[in-house]
Amino acid sequence: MNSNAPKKPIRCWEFFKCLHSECPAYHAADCKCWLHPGSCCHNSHQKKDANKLEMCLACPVLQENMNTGDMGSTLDLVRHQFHTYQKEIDERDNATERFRQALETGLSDVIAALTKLATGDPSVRLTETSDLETVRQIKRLVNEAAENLSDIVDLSHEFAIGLAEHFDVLHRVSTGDLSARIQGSSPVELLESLKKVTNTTIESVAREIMEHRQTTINLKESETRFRTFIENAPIGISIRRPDMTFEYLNPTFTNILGYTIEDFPSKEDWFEKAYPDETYRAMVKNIWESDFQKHNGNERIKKRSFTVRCKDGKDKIISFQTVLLPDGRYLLTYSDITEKALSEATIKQSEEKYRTLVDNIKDGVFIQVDGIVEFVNDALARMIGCTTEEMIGRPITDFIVPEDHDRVMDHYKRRMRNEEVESEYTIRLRHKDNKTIVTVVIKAGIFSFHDRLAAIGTINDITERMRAEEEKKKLEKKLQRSQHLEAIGTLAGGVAHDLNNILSGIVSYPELLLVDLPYSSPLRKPIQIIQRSGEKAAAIVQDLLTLARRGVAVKRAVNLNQVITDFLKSHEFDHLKQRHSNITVDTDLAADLPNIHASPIHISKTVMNLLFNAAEAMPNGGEIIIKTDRRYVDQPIRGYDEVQVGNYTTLEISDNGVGICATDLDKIFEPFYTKKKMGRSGTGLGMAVVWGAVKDHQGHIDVKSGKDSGTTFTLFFPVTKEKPHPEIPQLSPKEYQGNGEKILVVDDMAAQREIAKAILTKLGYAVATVASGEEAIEYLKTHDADLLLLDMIMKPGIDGLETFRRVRENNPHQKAIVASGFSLSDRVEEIRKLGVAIYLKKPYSIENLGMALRSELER
Amino acid sequence: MALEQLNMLGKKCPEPVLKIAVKAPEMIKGDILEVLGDCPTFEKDVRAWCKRLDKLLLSIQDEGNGKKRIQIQF
Repeated sequence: MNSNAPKKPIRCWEFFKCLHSECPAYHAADCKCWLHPGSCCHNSHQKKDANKLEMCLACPVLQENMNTGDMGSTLDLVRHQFHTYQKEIDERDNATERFRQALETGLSDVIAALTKLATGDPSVRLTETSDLETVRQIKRLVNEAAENLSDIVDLSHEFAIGLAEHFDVLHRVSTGDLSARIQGSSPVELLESLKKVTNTTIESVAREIMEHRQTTINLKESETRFRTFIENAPIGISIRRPDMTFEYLNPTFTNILGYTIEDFPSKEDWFEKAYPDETYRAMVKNIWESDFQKHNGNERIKKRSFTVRCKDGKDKIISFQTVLLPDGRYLLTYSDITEKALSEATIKQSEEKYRTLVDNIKDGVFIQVDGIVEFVNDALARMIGCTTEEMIGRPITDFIVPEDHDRVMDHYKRRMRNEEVESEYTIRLRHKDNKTIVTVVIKAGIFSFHDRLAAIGTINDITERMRAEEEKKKLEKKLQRSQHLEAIGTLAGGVAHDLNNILSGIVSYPELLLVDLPYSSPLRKPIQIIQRSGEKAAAIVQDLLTLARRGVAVKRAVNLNQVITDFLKSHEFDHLKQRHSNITVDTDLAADLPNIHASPIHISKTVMNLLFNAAEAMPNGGEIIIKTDRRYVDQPIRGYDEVQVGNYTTLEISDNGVGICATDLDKIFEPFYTKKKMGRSGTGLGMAVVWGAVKDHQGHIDVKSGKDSGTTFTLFFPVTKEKPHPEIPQLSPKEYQGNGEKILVVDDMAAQREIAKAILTKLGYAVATVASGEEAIEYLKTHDADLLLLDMIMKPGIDGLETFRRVRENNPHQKAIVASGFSLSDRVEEIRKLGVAIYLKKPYSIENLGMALRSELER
Repeated sequence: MALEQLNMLGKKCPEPVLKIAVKAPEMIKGDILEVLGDCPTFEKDVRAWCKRLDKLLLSIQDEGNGKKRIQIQF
């Protein structure tokens, strides 16, 4: 400091360029900023007094502005500041001492506690009081550590105690105390689980041990029983080792065979002694080895019987049964079956004898007990399509038709009651196919069978016999009918020839007379009546021939529809409609109907007869339907008649009349059988004619009828592939006049020759006549004829067929027509094949003869 | 009736109890096992073991310095 020139004091805010206008030093009048409390430097920069003092003493402002006067003030300030500092230091020293003491006390407790913990006592706890936070915190940590350590120690001790208990219990169990169990409960879950596992295991082991003990006891008992049994068994027993050497023989073995175990040191000793014959021994050994290979681990090996040589030299038949024991040894039993085998052989022979008899007998054999089949032989099983296995064990009624159940059971029960019962009776068995009925005669008796009462009997299949008898009856019936018809046929055939020739006079002469008789003649009507009577008589003769199947059926391809259509336009049909005005006739004719090989006249007559029959069945009127159709029959139809397999054209005529009862149905085709009223009926031949005509056409008839439900006749005609010949055109009398052609009439009857000659002459032909075939042949050697009019039956010489055959030998182009009252069909067919196309049935009309001649001459 | 002894001084629990457990099978009914131990939890552990295994705790003798003598009858 320069005392010579007083310096201007500097202001602190100027010196430090302080802009803090709030500072007391800023507004102070003097420049003693360090003396002003609350200056900026004091508050912001100087902070604490000691620092302020140090700062102010170093401050350039103080140094610049300091003067003596201010020095005192400054020193006061310094002194004051020093005292303040001294006081603070003293307070701090005291506090430090208190801290040290508190720390020492606290740490002493902590160290004691840690010392206890270190020795393994986790029960130590500290009061958490101290002046020092740090000490309190350390105490808290020590307590926490002690608590945690205590938990761990407790847990380890719990484990140890639990482990000790387990050890104790398991030790007790191991020493045989099976009642030992873990008793205590533990808060440790693992120990509780372990307790359960241990106790369960002990219980399981205990149970097994108890069972094992029981098994051992049982085994011992069993072994005792087994040994007792073996020692006293009535059969010989041996136990053999796996190598088949003998380990044990029971006393019975020795009793039976005489050997002891010492006799068989090796298995070969057994074979050599028991089977001294080498061949037999080899066979036995082979069988043994084979059985042992086949048994595949099965306990029981196939039972065998062999003849064994005993120690005393006798032979015995021994039955062997070998059982493989679980330990690989074998137990063999030896039964002496010598006597049994001998008696069995006898029984077997006897049984084989009876078995052979039962198996080969044709009759069925059965045994039934309480309604159940116990035995049947093959023959009985075959009868109904079963096997014996399918029948045995089933109720006997399973094989009998239900309708016969009661009868069979009634017989059985009556037999069981020892009542009088017929020894044999007929029943029906049901075949396995459930369709076929097998008729049998059963013979049965009651016998004791296996200590029970059984019905034993034989069954004889009589189905074929019954069928044969039925067939025989049918055949007899047919034969009777055939003989009946044959008799009628013979009668009809016998009379037809002569009658027709006779009728020729009655039919033909009136016609000749009528040609020349004036229309006003009073004779005309009686002559016409004579003519029609003759025609009717001829028709009856023809019917007789047809039903007797002696009719001359000249057949050709015919369309059935055409025959029906023609008939419906005929006078006969008009007559039917007039007679039965209350009926209607409808047709249902199939298009493209196949042709049939038939005689149109016979078919037409058949239709007529059926229509008349239908009309008569409807006295109160009704409807008749005529239907045609084609049918293929793929298997025989067994209806009224038997329809064979084949293609047929059918004619069906049905009515809705009164019907035919079953008893009448069998007879409707018999000749002269009629239910019609007298006076309204015809000859009684109508339906018989239908039957005869259909059979002549190789056809079949089916009839379906019921009382008041109408009747349907269905006729089956075999179809033909032939085409119909063109019809002979209807000619006017002038057109069938002759032109002087030479006609030779060959007929053995003079009257016939006369009639023929008269008609032919009338028609304009040159006529010659001869009385036999032989004459005709002779005549033709010197004459010629444009056509022969040949009779068929000429007695006593050759017939028309033979005549024509011989004529043709000389003149292969000779023409002829046949005119006959009656001829056998086969002769007519024969002559037709030789070229005679026209068969003219006597009596013939002028028109018929004329048209036939024209047709043949112009052919 | 035999008296067996087991010195567990210096052994920390739960080793004394485990030793007693191992020793137990040798004891027959009526035998007494005397165990000397100084572990702080020795007594507590032996008491718990006896209770759990149904053994009779005959006596506990405090011999100072943490040492205890305990007799167990089997």
